[in-house]
Formats: sequence, C-alpha cells, structure tokens
Amino acid sequence: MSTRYAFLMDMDKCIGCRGCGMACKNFNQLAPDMVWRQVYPLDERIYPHRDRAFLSLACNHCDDPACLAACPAGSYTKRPDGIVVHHQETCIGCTNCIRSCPYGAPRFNKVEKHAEKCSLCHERLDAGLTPACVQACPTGALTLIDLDTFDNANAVQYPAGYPAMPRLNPSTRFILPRMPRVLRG
Amino acid sequence: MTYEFPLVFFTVLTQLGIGLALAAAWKTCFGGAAVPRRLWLAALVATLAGLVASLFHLGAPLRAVTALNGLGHSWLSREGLVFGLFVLLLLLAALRPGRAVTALPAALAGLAALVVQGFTYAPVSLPAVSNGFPLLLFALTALTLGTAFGAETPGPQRLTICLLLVVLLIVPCLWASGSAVMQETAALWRQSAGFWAGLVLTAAALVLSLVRRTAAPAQGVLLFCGALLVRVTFFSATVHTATHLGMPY
Repeated sequence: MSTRYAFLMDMDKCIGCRGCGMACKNFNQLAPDMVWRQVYPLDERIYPHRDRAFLSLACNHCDDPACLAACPAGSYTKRPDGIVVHHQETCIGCTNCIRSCPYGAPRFNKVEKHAEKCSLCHERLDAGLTPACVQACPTGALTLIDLDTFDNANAVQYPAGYPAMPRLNPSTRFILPRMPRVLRG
Repeated sequence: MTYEFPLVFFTVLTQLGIGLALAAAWKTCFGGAAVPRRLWLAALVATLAGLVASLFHLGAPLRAVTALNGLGHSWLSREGLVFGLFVLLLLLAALRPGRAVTALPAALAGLAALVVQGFTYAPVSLPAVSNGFPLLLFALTALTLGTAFGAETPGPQRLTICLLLVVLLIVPCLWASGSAVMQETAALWRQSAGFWAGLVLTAAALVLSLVRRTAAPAQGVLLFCGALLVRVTFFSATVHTATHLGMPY
C-alpha cells in the first residue's frame, strides 16, 4: 500500500505561538537568519476578527514539485512516500527553485550559498518519530497525515491566503478557523 | 527586493548576442554586401560576456557545469545547453563569415536560446510573467539591439522599438486588471524609476533614429542602457506569490 505523507494544519487550533518554527530551527540546526517553517497571520480581509488566525507553512511536498522541475543540478528528489528532499551538497545556489516555488518553501542560505528547505524530518520519520514541528505544537494544530488514507470532509487544500496551484497539487491540508465564539468590539 | 544584477546582465548581453547573430544571418542570406567578421565576433563576445555574468549569480560557480544535470525537466539546464551550442555555432560563423551554411545554424540556435530563456524566466510563482511576456520582451530586446548595432537601414530598428514600447506600456495595464499579485506587480512597475528611465532611453533612441535617418551606434547604446533598466525592473519588481501568503490572492 502506498503512502503520501503530508501536513494537516488545523487553523482553528493554531494560536500563532511559532513553536513549530522554533522546533524546526532547533532540530535542523538552522542558521540564525534561516527558517524552514513560518507562521503567517491571516490578513483581516480574510479573517476580519479581533482574534487572529494563522497559516503555519513549510514545504508542501507537492505531487509535481516546481522546485524539482526547476532545479538544473538535480538536487531535488522525491521519495516514494511523497517527501521532496533537497540535497544541499549538490546544490549550486542558482536560486531557481526559490524563484519557482509559489509557496516560498526553499530559502537561500547566504553563508553556505545554497538553497534549503523542509525535509519533513524524513530522518525522524524513518526512525518512527514525528516531524519536529508536529511534536512541538502545543495545541495539536499540526499533525502528520497519510493522504492515501486521509478522509476528512472538513479539510481543504486551498484556504484563502494560500495560492491555488492545481498543477503542482500541494499535499498540505487545512482545517479552516471558525468564527470567534466571543465577538469583541 | 533583489535586483539580480548578474541575471540582468546575463539576459541583456546574451540577447544582444542573439540580435547581432540574427542581423548577421539576415545580411548573409538576403543582403547584397559581405558580412564583416566583426559582427559575428561582437555577437560572440556579447554572449560570452553574458555567460560570464551568469556565473556571478551562482552560489557555487565552480560547479556550474552540473547545471546540465536536469536537462530532462529543467528549462535552466536546457538554457545552458542551448547557449553552449549557440557559442560554438557563433565561433564557426565567425571563422567562416559570409556563408549561409554557418550563419543559418547560428541564427536558429539563437532563436532556440530565446525561446528557452522565455520559458526559464516564466515560473508559475510569478503570475504576472508566467506567460508569454518574458519571451516577447526578450525577443523584442534582441531585435532592437540587433537592428541597432547590426542593421544598416533604420526601418527595422524603428519598427522593433515601437513594438517594444507598446508592449512595455500595455502589459502593466493588463496586469492591473488581474489577480492581487498581478495588480501589485503593475503598481511596482509603474512606481519604478528604472522602468520609466528605461522607457525614456528607448524612446530617445527612436527619436534619434527618426532625426538622423540612419541606424547609429549611439541609438544602440541608448537601447542597451534602456534594456538594462527595464530588466532590473523585471527581476526586482515582479511580485512572487510567496510574498502574499496569508493575504488575498
């Protein structure tokens, strides 16, 4: 039976603590100005409430990744379980993947002069652990799912504030935030 | 905002090389007079200078040759291959100027390089230019520069300059009626001093051409500087979808 790993981001549970990004940075020993996961507050035009809602985004491990297609050096590979892996040792730092990914997942490491991105902690997955961001999330807003068996009618692929790219078919799924229970003036 | 100067010089210089090669090939096949070797050599030098400029864009320029690894899927790899072929054919044409058998393959390789370049710089993440616009811009840049330095009569130059000006004035207006990212791109291009300065220089080349009634290098210099300024805008003011995450698209 095939597997396609993906992140499920429950925007209703996310409190914007950015613990996911910190755990990612800590586990992957990222450079000070480097992030592989970033939390974006939803614009008030999308979520017009005093309470805020957030998108926590890293690499979406697309079905047909733009980064992999754009990379001239063949530094990207896709595992059978759907994880898009970037091999930094063969990267020539052309930044074509950064220009090509509509979600801004690959970032340029100015010190090492190569691109980097979320690996979905495949080393941890292979060891039977969950990704660092998933493990760190205090509210359970981030979970790891297998898209081949995932069945949640409330999950959406393209929430507002997230570019729809059907050709790339990003794997991340989202639960939309509900209206605040208490409306404050 | 990143200006991507190596890519600015790479694209404009290689398009100058392609334009010169097209002009030289046209003269070889349809012109009466002999094509001077220096025209082919100028095309070769401009293309090589562009390729050297592209190396400054890489984080690991010494491993630039591995950019050919992705020929099966990457337009950037194909760009590297086609430009390598173009340089070789330009060298052949420079060694045997005035012969259609060397001029035509060089011109065809130049056209192929333009097409591949048009695809390379039209990623899905830049909605405003993820279409035929880069190809159109690059082709018109190559033609204006090629006719400015390579044509003997001003007619073709005036026509290509007019087309380039029309495209550059109309396209941002089309973006303004598109998605939020395209609208922001239109606004940034319109606010860009470099964009307007590039247009003014291009228009000045047209005026000079009309006044002097000849194709002169001075017009070519104006067009080259104008192309550089517009290209800086192309790379720095075209909005990426990732900058809008969390905001309406």
